[in-house]
Amino acid sequence: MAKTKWRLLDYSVPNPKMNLAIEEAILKSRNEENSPDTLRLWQNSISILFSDRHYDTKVDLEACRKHGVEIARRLSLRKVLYNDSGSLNFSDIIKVEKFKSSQDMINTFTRLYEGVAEGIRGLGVKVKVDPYGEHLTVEDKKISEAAPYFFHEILLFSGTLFVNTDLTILRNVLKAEEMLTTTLNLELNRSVDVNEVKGLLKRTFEKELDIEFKIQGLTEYEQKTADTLYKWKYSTDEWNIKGKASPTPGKTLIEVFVAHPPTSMCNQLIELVKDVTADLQEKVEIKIWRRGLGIPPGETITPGLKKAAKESVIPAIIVNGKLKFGKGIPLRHELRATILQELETLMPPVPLGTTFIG
Amino acid sequence: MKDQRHWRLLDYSSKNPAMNLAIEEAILRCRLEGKSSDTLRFWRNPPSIVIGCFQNPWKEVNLAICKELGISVFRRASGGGTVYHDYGNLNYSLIFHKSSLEANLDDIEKSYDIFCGGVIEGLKMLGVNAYNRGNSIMIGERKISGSAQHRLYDVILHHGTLMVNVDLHALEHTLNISNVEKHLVNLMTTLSENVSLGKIKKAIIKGFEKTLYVKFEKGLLTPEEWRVTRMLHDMKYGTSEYIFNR
Repeated sequence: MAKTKWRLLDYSVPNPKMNLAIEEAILKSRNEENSPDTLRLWQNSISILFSDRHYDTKVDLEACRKHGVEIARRLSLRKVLYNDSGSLNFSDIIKVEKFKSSQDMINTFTRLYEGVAEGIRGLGVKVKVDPYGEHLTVEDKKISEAAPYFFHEILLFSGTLFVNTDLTILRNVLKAEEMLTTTLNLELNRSVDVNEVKGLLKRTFEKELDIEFKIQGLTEYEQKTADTLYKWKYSTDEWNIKGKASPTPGKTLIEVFVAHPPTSMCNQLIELVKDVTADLQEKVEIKIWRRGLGIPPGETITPGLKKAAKESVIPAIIVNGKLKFGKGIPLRHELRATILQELETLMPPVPLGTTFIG
Repeated sequence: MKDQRHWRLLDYSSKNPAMNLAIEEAILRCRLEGKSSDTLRFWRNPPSIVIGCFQNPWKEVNLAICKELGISVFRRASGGGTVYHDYGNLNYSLIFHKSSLEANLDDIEKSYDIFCGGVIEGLKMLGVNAYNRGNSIMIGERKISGSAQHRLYDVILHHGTLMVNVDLHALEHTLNISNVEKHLVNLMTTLSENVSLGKIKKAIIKGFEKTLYVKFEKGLLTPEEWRVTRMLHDMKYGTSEYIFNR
């Protein structure tokens, strides 16, 4: 039987925020069936990646400034993650079947993590995958950590492996270490090259997951999406400090909230929205939500959608998170004017001037 | 004085809870398109659990015990909480166009007072003193009825339960609630003599006739309503995607 093919993407840029934009671009593109299942191996310049609201209680911002550590908000990790050129990051971006139980989900994480663990074992280091698939340990010392994120049916399982990471800086910038940390260098008592580990991981992933890698680069579509995400999301203060970003960066979001299954009037409304925005395809994104079917994981519930759902305003049109029309079909020119008005207010956010936040 | 409007009285239950929920929405949709009349419906479900539109069954229901007892879980179109149904539970539904009543129904909370008022009036005729707190009807400090609404354009579906003789033991175990007898009460235990279900229905009908100023006439489901019911059952209420997928 032919083995399942994954893409092996060995691609990094020396900009942590762009690296994160690339990650989300692959995730979105995979969801749209424009990309294959992917293992991305990448390295970052010295940085701290977080998604925790209270990251400042864990990170010494003054020390970050001193060491030139860049801080960037990512999608998945609850915890705070330290990166430098000696850390090897891995991201599995794959489509998953619906999980039957939480144990089924955790089994998927640990199975993916075994691919990394087996590679390190090949070097002669005895590592264990923890039962929840959150880290790899060598005699109770952490050598790798990972976290999942879901977008629709796509799983992003990403983490980092400390190969020859500078632990002195790590201890300086992180206020408290939850666990003792170690690196491959320390465990093997020699200098280990990140590229050496990459080669190992490729082989063990193929064996552990019973797949075959095809080495490929970033697609043009992914690159384009990453550029937009970088400009509208990852490079902005809104995202990095407040954690806020438009669900459709760079585009005006039009949500249509209808009954499930749609009534004839609901269908009429959907057609009207599509018709009115036919010439604005590059600038708007239309999402259709059916009442009672829920919102897939990873999607944002906008304030307007929440209001419409709570007050049973059906059907409703929500533009950029604001409830604009409800319980009826608006006149064509009214709808058009409202959308154009929202387009005008959409100005590019101001990118971050410095590399530091906080 | 304005003439009393005539509403349809529909006393029909399917043995399948998913069909019962589909009938509710089918009438709502047909009423919206002007193919049905304003309706008061009475119905009962076999032992089952019905969760609110936005609820998570894994969180609300003890699924392991349900499996053991052969009780299935369903999702309704209206919001609100989880309900345990059996033949001891009488459901009533009002499905009508906003313009059919003179009251201002835009304030959702106030509209609950109006509709719960009809049931309270009916209970009074049976000699029970009840009052409503939001969407719940209480006797003393114990709840006897809960209700919820689903609105589609200007058509309103208001439905509620009335606990006549519910198996509180089964309710307690399937919904993970403790001390149910402290919080919930069956109508039967508050009445001094045995009252038939027919008499209870008649009292509620009279209650609504009085509070809504309408007249009820017995009717049946129309062929169009049956068609929409089957469609909604197959596409929505009968699918595990709708019930469990979130």
